[in-house]
Amino acid sequence: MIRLILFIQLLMGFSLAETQGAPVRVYTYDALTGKGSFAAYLGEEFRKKGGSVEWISFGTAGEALNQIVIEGEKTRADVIMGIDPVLFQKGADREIFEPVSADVKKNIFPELLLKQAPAFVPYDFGYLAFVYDNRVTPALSSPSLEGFVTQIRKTDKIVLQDPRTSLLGIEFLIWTREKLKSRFSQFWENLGPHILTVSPGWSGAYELFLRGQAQYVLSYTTSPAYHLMREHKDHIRAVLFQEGHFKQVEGLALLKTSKQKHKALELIRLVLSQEAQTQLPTYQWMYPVHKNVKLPKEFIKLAVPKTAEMDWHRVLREKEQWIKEWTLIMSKKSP
Amino acid sequence: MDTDYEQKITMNWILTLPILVFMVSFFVLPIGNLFLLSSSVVTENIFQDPYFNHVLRFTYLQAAYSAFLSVGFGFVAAFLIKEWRIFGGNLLWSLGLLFSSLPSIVVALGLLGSWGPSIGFGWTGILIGHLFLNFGIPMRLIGVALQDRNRTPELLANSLGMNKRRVFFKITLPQLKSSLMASWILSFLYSSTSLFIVMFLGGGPRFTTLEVLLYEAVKLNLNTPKAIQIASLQALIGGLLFLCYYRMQKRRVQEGQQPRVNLFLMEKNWVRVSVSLVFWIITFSVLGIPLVFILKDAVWDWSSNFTSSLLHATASSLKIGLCVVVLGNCILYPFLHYIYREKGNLLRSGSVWLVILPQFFSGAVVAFALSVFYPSLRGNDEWGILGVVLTQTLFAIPLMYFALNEGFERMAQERFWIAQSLGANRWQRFFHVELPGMRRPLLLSMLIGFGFSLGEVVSLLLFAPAHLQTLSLTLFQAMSRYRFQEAHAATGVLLVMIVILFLIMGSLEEKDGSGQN
Repeated sequence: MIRLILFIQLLMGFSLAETQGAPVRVYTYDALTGKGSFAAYLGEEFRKKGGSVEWISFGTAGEALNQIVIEGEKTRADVIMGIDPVLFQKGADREIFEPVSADVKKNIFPELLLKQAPAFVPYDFGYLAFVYDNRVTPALSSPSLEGFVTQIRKTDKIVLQDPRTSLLGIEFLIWTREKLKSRFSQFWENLGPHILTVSPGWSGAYELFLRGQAQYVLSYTTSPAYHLMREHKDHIRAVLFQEGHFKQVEGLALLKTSKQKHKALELIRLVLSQEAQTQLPTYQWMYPVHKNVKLPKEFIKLAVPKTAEMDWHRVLREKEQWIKEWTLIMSKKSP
Repeated sequence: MDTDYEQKITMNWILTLPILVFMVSFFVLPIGNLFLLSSSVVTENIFQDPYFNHVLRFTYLQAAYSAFLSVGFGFVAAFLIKEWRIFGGNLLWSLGLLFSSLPSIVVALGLLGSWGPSIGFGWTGILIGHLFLNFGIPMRLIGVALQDRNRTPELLANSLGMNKRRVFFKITLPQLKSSLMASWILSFLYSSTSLFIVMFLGGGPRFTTLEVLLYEAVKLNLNTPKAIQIASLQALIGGLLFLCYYRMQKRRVQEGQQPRVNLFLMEKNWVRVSVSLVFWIITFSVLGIPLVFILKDAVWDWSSNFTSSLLHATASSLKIGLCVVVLGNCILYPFLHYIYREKGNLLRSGSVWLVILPQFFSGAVVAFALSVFYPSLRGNDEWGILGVVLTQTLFAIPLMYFALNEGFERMAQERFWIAQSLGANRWQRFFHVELPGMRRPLLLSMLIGFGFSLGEVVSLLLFAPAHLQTLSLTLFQAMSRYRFQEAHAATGVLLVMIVILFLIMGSLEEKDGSGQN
């Protein structure tokens, strides 16, 4: 009988975690969480305020959003963190987000806010760039997107992110499509032989770059600041394009299905607070969205590129078609 | 009507109903539903999409190449082991099984670690990955066919002056035709439905298979109509391959006692040693190095940071594995008892159909079919865990079947007759004769089911609630982010568990063998 009771207890063990309180559950991508991450910092600060957060991480923010869609009404997520306007729109089309009052977002740079999308709450931003190690790869003289492909050595390899799964991947695709228009196909065909692999997310791609498997990785202009501040290494550099860079805005959204919207809003306020935003650059290695935050000196030294203008209406309308075009080009030429 | 007859009918229903209900509810109906839906939900003709056609071509081209490579390598290995009796042949014979039982995700990790991304990505990585996982199947099938073949015509032809080469091509090879074709079909099937080898070693849209496309449609793009079309196509091809395989198996003729003279045995010892050496060098370079890398990195890359999360993941893996083997045995055992103890031999061959069918369908197709037929299984709660357990059980049952079936086959019928003549009723015969005799096969089947569950990922990707972490899922997540250190740690724990299972299984089989002697 004791064995039977133990066996039943073992089977029931799946649901033990459910009985321990109700933290605010945040679905996000993996690079945001873990030891010494921005999520860990937020969790600790939120705990001081009497709350608790459970971070559930996925390979990419797209996977996190898909999980919420699959779970539907039953989802345990209160907040999704790490989405950009494109992913936000995917969720907004399914009416899963709860609008957040303007008061919460009052200290955010106005140009980062999405008009007609009160549910989207930006919390950091950065500029996409190719990052390289200048000990093994020669510097390029501020080329354009197309010039980059012609200037790199024939043997140089690049790790990119998959537009079908990664924020960075789709944003790079949008950037190239919007900037190059009809020359888009030619650009990707030329880039093809240089692509080592198309990784599902940023962290995988960056890991391959750090292991020396590729000379370039698609990351952010702020990535060198991480190596400088954390590792005291100044050999990681970003290639800067004179014509401007894609500006990525990362945001979060409160879910309509959340049963603890008040607590979730408290967490959102904490993310946007001046204290958390001051800490954000050295956790996320991105720029804070708060108007009154003083940046670390290493960030001030970084060159801030021009912003490449995007027609977001066209992007949202045509991005699926662009992904199809890209997939077809890549299936012929790369890697 | 006779009361005994009524009781027997009731008992028969009780014994056969669980597997019938299970297979019909969780396999036949979901797959049938998929075929029905494939015509009604079509919004666009996927065959008009040039990318889909590229994927279709690549899927079956790489599967054909992989199958030729596996059968070629497996044939050479089987011939050298069984006919030339090369040095270390028995070790390779056992390793083939171990290689085939390794989770494909572990193999992908080993290949990337040992060959590096520049060689590991693309055609080379995919073909070697499939060779690694599949060569054991042709090696074993062809090896058994070589061992059991009718040797008399070979000896007669040779004694009448036909040289060995002609004997081999004119007499031996035709006898191996059905096992060669059956092993090609199996290798082709497994390569065409392989997910992780292609996903991790493909490196982009150029090297995408239908299985990866299905995963993307289900998990990443949430495109159910497209997924239904892909899954139906996969299921159709799986079904056709099953029919071909079944025909091949039926053609195999059981031969009686054969002369033990080995016509092809290489008598020159130095040739045998040299060929053994060359073969082992090739085998070690292609297959051994990734395995060594997996083991080395699993130990060296261990970090205490992973201990707590891996402990948690191990506990979840154990719980799911336990549910799978308990459910699997509860369904399968009564059915086999019915076949062997109540019905006799009549249904024995037919029963194979019922239980091994799921193996011919990819895990992604079956899991997706289940999720479409029972949508509530895909949710963030315990229903999701049920989805994982059901899918894993469907695929564990064919594996568990072989262990249980062998146990029933080996059990001496005389014991039952003696017990019956002494007045033992059905229950007494079951508890005092059958169960003690089936203890080892039962344990073996549980270990096999458990081993399968440990490495299975597809059902977890589709059904697992966000909070559930198992060893194989941790490994998948670490691999998809190229976090090799974490992946190696998870692999280490997984490998230790699989090796322990193998050792226990090996000792059980040994005891079984000695028990027979």
